[in-house]
Amino acid sequence: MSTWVRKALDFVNQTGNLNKDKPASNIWMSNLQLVRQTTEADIILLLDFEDEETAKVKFSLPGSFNDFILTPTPIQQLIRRNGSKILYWDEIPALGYQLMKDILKGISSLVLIPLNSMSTESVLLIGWESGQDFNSDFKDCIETIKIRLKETKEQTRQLTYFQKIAIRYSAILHHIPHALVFVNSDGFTGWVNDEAAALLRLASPGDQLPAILSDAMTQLRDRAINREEIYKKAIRLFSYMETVTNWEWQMEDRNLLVSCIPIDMQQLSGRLWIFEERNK
Amino acid sequence: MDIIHRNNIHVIGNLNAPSTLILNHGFGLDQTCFKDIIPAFEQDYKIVLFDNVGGGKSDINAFSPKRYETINGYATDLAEIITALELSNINYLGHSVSGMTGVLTYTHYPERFSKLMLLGSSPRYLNEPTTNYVGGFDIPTLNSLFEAMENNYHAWAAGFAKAVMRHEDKPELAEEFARNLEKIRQDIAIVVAKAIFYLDHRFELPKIHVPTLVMQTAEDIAVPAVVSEYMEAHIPDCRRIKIHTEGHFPQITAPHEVIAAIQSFL
Repeated sequence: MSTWVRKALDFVNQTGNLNKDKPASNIWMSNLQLVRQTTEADIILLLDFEDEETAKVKFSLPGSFNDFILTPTPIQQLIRRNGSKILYWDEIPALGYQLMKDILKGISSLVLIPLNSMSTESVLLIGWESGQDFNSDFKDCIETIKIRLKETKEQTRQLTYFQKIAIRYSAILHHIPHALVFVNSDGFTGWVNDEAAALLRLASPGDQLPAILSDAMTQLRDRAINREEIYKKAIRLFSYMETVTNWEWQMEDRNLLVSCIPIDMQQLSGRLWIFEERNK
Repeated sequence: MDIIHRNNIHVIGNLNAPSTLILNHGFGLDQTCFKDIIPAFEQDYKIVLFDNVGGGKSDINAFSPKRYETINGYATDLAEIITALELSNINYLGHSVSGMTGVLTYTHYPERFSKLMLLGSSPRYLNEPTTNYVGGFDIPTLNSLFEAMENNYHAWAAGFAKAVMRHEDKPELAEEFARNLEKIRQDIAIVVAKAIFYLDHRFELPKIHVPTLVMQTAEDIAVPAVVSEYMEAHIPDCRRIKIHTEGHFPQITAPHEVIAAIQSFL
């Protein structure tokens, strides 16, 4: 097995498991550090084409060009002229503008890897100060790196997208004035918002074990003045999976208007409880 | 991209002079703000003037909220101007935010610069209590500022112009600056103001290895005196001069003092 084949396999192995707890920027940084380690390059630049006027250096190793802005047109034209193929240069070509030449000062060999996806357009530049032998094993390694980075790009894009959605809905659900409790029918998970955590006297909002939720809900029901009536209605409710609204739980100091809505979707099923406070 | 058109570039003065003087205006102004400074240098320097994108007579179509969401976009514009005009031996005067734009460009192309002159500039406007850094602004103040820009831009422009210009005895100066601010499209002004007030380039200061002049006025609400002291302490070869005028625009309110400071430095 040639050195470059082994390096390509190592790269795939080490970038294979996406750590979803890390921000996308950290995932990229560690992957690009691996690219540098694998290729023994002197400079790595990841450029994102953000709009017609903006190509931003998202990551650079060494870090002196991070957040640097370039005018995208010359490099985009170069990529398109070459059909988005990987480009290998034994000497630095005229990339259309002085700025890139200045960035790549001292670099004698360069590889340009287009990393376009459906939603984003990027390019990775890998440069060496000394001459690089672009033999077929080396090119295979670079192709493997390209494929893996494109996968990482899509995965981190999705991860960022879902993290943003999670933040948005979490902010909405925690700020809603009603207490929300979701009990998943898988028997393993439940979730409460800020108001519900306070109402059920739980230590914190967010994910909860169903046993803890069930216990807290029972305690709340037991604090109600009309608990017998609630208990009877609850038995019927759990038997028929029906939607209940305007269900009054009379407490000492206030009334709670309760709704219980069955949720039955392809990837999620359970019951959503909504508690709305009514002053006595 | 036609950079000459994009930035409304003018090269004046002594075109055969060995040294270049770049004059870069700050937020809310354009190249005309240096009109009283230019005559003192036009015999000895090739003078490069331009309008930053979003202001003056720059190409409004070139404005991109992505490119200019940080001042790196303006630093790239400056670098493109320098390379397109093949400028070297540059003496750079940057007013306000354009002081730091020049510093950023310098750090990438140090060989092209001879001297830097920073007029009412700041490496960070936001206070940083954890390091006791005083920039003059805190988060609630900035939030109020941006809210005011969004809610009633014209009223904000009038109020901001008065506060930063000072010189209540010459109300026409603040009125003219307010008119200039009002000419900027509101969305552009907000993007640029955020790029300015959230910048933090303190770590670039020790990288400056050309003689640097920091000019500070009295009662500048955008840049308190302590900021210029910070810059003096962190730029290796730095001279700090107090310009005896109030407000953020000494090139307009006290051009002769600014000229004297520059001449003594150059």
